[in-house]
This record gives sequence, C-alpha cells and structure tokens, in this order.
Amino acid sequence: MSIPPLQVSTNQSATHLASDVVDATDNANRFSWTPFLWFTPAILILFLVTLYPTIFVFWLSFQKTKYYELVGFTGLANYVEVLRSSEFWDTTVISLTYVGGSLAGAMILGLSSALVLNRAGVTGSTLRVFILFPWTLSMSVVGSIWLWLLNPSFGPVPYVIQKLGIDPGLMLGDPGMALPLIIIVTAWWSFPYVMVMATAAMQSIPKELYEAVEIDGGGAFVKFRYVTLTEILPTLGSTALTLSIMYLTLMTLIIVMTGGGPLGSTTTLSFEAFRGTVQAVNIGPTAVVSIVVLIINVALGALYSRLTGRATG
Amino acid sequence: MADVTLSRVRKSYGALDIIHGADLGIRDGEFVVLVGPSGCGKSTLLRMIAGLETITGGDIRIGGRVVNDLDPKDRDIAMVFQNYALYPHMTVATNMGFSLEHRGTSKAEIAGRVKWAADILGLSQLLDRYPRQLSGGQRQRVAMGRAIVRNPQVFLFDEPLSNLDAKLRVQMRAEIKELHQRLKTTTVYVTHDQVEAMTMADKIVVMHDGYVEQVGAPLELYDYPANVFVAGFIGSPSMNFLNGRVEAGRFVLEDGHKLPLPAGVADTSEKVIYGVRPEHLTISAEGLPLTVTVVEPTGSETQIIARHGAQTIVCIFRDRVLPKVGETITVAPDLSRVHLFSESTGRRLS
Repeated sequence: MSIPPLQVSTNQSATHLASDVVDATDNANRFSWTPFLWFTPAILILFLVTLYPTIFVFWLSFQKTKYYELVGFTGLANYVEVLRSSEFWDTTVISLTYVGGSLAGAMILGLSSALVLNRAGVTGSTLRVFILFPWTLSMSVVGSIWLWLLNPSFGPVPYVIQKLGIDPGLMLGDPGMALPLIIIVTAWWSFPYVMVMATAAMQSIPKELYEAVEIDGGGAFVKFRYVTLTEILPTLGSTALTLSIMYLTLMTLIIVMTGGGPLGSTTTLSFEAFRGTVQAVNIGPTAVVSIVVLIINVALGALYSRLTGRATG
Repeated sequence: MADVTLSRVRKSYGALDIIHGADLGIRDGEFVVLVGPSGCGKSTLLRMIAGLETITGGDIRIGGRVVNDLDPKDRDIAMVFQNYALYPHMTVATNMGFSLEHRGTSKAEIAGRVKWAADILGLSQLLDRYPRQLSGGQRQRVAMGRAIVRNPQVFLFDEPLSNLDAKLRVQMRAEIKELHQRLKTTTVYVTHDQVEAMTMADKIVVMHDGYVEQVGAPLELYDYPANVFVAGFIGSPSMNFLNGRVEAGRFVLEDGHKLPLPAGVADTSEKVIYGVRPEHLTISAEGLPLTVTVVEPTGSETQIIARHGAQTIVCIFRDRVLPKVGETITVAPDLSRVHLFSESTGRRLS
C-alpha cells in the first residue's frame, strides 16, 4: 500500500519570484516628493524644539556673558574655565555616581520583582499592576512624597529607623546621606520600568528550554543563569541604556528634594545646568556644562542604537 | 535500558479529566509510539513519564522503580522536544555536554561522550556552531545527540519531526529507527502521524480523548483494529465505513444494496458498520456500484473517490484504472479484509 506523497513546497533555493522584480521596478519608477512633503511639519517642529536650541546652546558656550547680556565672543575660554574647576569634576563624579547607583538599584529591583512575579501566576499579574505605581507618578509628586517620608522630625522612615535602634540623623540634610537617599528614591521610581521590560522579555522565552534544563539536571540557579539571563540580556542592556540617558538629564527630583545640596552633595551636571541658567545666571560656563551632558548622552544614544540595531538586524 | 510500566495512570486539571486510567507496559528495548489526533493526551502522557507533569492518579514505573514523585533529572530519562529546545547561546558541543557538566562528569569524559554521539549522528563538523547557524534537520540531530550522550534508560520523543519538511521527515525517520537498532534503548515516541507510527514502532498505542484505544504491533492494528476509531485512524487513506445490517448471511445497506460477508458471521439485529480499506476494493462485474467523482493517478497506483448515494467511498487500485468523472464502476471487497463493527459501541465484531 502506498500513500500519496505530501506536496510540501519549501523555497529552499531562494529563487527570485517574478512578482519581486515587478515590485522593484514599480518602486524605482514611482519616486516623488510627496512623502517628503508630508514629513516637513514634523521635521520643522523637531528642528525648532531640539536641533535649534542645541545649536543655540553650543553657540552660547563660546560667548562671554553677564547675566542675560552677551558681551562678546571668547572662544574656548569658557571651556577652559569649566574644565579646570574642581567643582566641575566633583559635579561630574556626583552625576556618574547618581546614574550608576540609580541604574544598579532599578535593575536589581526590577529584575528581582520580574522574576518573582513571573512565577506567581494570576496573583503576580495583579501585583504587577500595583507595583507599576511609582513609575506612573510625576517626578515632583515623587519628590514631595519622599520629602515627607524622609523628614527627620516627623517622617515615618526616620521613625522606623529610630525604633530599630539606629540614629537616623539628618536624612536629606546630611551631606553624606543625601545622594544615597536620592539614588534610592530614583531607583524606587524607575524600577517598574525595568520590571515591565524584563517581564516582557521573560515571557517570550520558550517554556521548553526550562524543561530541557529540568531534564538535564539543572536547578533554579542554572535555569536563571543559562536560560533566563542569556535570553533577556539584550533587553536588559537596552533598558539600562535608556535609563542611563534619562538619569543623566533628570533634575526635577533634585530640585524638589535637595536643591542641589546640602553643600552641593547632590549637584549633578544637569542640575548645575539648571541652576546656572535659572538661578546663578552664568550663561557661558553653564552652556559648557550642558554641552558636556549632551556629549555623554549622544555617546550613550549611539551605543543604544548600535545595540538595538544589532538585535534587530 | 529499562522497562516502563503505567498502571491506571490518570491526569486531571481540576475537574477536567485529561487522561482516564491508562495502562501500558513497555518492555526493555522496545520502540513504542503513542499516536492519536491532536488533544488525545499523548503528549501529556509522555510528559508524565518524563516528570514534567504531575500524576493525578496511578503509578509510573521505570526499571521497576516508582517514579511518581521523582524530579525529571532523577528519572534517568532524556527527551527530544518538538522545537528542539537547544540552548541558543551555547555551541553544539556545549549543548550536548550540558547535562553531563551538571552531573559532575570529568571534562575528558564529557568530550569523549560528545564525540561519540557526534560521530553517530554526523555532527562532528558542527561542534563549534551555534544553533542559529544550523538547519532544522541538524538542530534535531543535536537535540538527539544531547539525549544520547546521557545514555539514559529511556528516550522520550515529543513529535520531533513535526517541524521538518516532508522529505527530511522521511530521512530522519529512518535515522531514528537506525539509532534505536544500534543503541537498543527503550524509546517512547509521540506523533500524530500514523505513517511514522506504522514505520517506526515495535508497538503502537492509539489514543483518543484521553483513552488508550488499542495497543499492538503495527500490522496487528492494521489487520485487526479493535474499534472504529483505530480502524479509521490507522491506514491512509482511511478505511471506508458503510452502515447497515446483517441479514441472511449478507450485509444489507440502508438503501437495500447487499454486500458479501466473510464466512461465519452470525445474523444480528443490531446495526453494524461494514469496514473495508480502499486498497482492498477491486473492480469486478458484480458488487457495489459507485459514481466516480475524482480520479487521482499517482503513477504507482490510482486513487478514486466515488459516491454510493450520499456516501463517499475511496478506492485505491494498483492497476491504472482511469474512469471518467461521472462514470459508474462496480467494486467488490476482498472478503478476508472486511471488518465489522457494532454501530452502537464502535467495537469490533469478531
């Protein structure tokens, strides 16, 4: 008894279809300006809102200023002044500490909560919605909440710390404690973003890989290290980069909670740019600080697009 | 190598029963195929043997040992998945050696076993490649290599050839069978394709809606199906079924037509299903008249789909019979190959 053979067509030799050739010629012959005209409003707005201010600040960094008055072109004098000042480098260190610390906090908290809640089924899904809460708040609200929580006189957090037998000190008023506290608040605010990204990545891992580990003899740690982590690493990488870019330009929280103090211990580069423009009005050198932030962000952005490009390519 | 015994194995998800009391004995070294349509419970049963699903009731024994509460890694089994489940960020060699690494085997021994498995499966040139650089068939071989490196007591295959194209499937079928003849490890193989079952199995287990319908050697199931479901499932194209009654030694169809019966069939008042395979019908002067609707010559044989009244009958002829559509042909069954089933229970009437 013989069975009629299955006719399965697989284009394994990558033959060109006649219709492909037709499409290509069609597109080549149909070039027009219309698509570009549709883009023009968007490009104009983009230019106005991002490119123009950036070029303007760049130009400002070469000017000598006195409050809001432009006095004259000074070349690289502003740059020299800024890069020579020890305060600038202190500020840079604070910025980098802030970014690094917040990133570490957000990633660890986000990844842990994603791992825990992913295995919790329906309860996990519900909890995830509530855990998203910090991310939905605006920064000024976050700042106000935590100002109250951390208030040394009547805030709940110092109260609990005191009950545990430790002296809470001045909290945000303490130059040594202010930055770590700001980092904790930033991590609290942004970890749900990491959790969502990590969860999405984890849910696209085929279940069979875990089953293969179970049969091969690996435990929970092996599953995490060889399956979960390796599969979500690209997502974690791009999440980390997006967050870094965001943290670098974040200043609302610092404005609300510490105003850059005490004693400049929470003055990041972005905050310095803000203060130099709005408060101290020292436009020239402040523009330099802005440019430094821009350069770091551009580098991070390039890294980000290269990584995600490789992931999709 | 070990035998596998399933005693009254049940599986339920809450109030829903998936498997209703399966009993099965698999001898050491046997190649058993669990076959059935989608949703019949064959994969669930396989995963229960593997330890990837909990057992609601009954016992599963591997090598005489009850394994109900044992983790998959302690059951000494290896599994080949439908989607290969290769670790994407590890080379072929690391994939194959992964399980041995986690059992504390020495590096030298791991390398030796990986080489042995790679040689058997023709993977020696591919050991440094990553899964994404391999074709479907190569990936499936790596998955098999990962299983045989462990030298387990039982191999479990979960529809491993479903993702391959038809030609590759035929080739891999033979390779798996050869592997089994070489290693002689007890194998439980799940598929929905009855051709795979017929060509590969020492013993076939036909499943349907969580019940084991029949267990037997391939030809036994082909020649003596225990019920209508097995009769219609095994064999392609499927067996033809006609409804009617047994009267005065003849089979009477609903429209009055009479068909011959094999000797020794008693008259019965109950309704009966007359089953005959397409390949057991021949053109003859006297017999069942059919109106031809489709003629399919495949070169080696001719498949004809015809109608008798409202009923569709499929015939396969070795000779090149090429009637025109709409023509009437008369077919007669090979009496030694006629099957009778009770219409009410579906079971075979001997």
